[in-house]
Amino acid sequence: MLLTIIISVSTLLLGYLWGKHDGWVEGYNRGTVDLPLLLREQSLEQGYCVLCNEHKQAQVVSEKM
Amino acid sequence: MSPAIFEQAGIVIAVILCSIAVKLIDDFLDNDRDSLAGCYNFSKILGNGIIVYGMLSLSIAASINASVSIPLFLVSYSIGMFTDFKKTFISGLSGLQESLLVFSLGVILWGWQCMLFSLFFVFSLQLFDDYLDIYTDQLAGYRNLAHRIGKVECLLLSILTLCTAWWINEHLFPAVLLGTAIVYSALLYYQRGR
Repeated sequence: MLLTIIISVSTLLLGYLWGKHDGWVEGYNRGTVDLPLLLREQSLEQGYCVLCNEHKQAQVVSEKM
Repeated sequence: MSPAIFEQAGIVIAVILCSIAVKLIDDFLDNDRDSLAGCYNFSKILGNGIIVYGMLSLSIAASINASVSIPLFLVSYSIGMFTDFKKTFISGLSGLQESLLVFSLGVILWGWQCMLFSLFFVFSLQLFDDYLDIYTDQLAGYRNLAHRIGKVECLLLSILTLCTAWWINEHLFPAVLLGTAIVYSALLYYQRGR
């Protein structure tokens, strides 16, 4: 009985640690993929591009010229 | 009173006295840190005499049941030292060395079973205490085990070590748990009320 509880709690703990580690890795990877797109989206909404570091207004003026 | 009940009652009283001794000595050592953090400490009431009361309490506990109270005290000392394992103490040894030395001495004097039972039991208590005090210790600027390994991990490990202690010595476990629960509840009631 006691040994069963020990094995159950050990399994629960190992499962929790495994899940937490996998969740952390998956979250980190997803963040790495999503972050540049989110930053670019937000910066374009504010009128500039983080990648080419160019202002939207300046780009429009240069295109007209 | 039958001899079996008398023996169990003796264990409970020895554990209560041993726990009081550990608490008083811990408060004596952590007096400065607790004063800075504003935590309650028995040194405020007992002053420098706190260490004498701790010794007295341990002596009575050892007189009632030495084979339970002394291993519990030695393991408490080992675990207390282990938390400061890099620090060098007055003996010239690091916390880790002192911790291992005291534990080995306990194994030679009291045997594997007593020391392993005490180790798992006290470690379980330490983990549970850290689980409850995670925010208080964080405010005091101390990273306890729950903060280091995670709150859920700390609670699960506490349950696991408690069950392991029970598995190692099924005869001793209920009385030791009862004695510890009495002291722990009294301390929680006393300290949280302040």
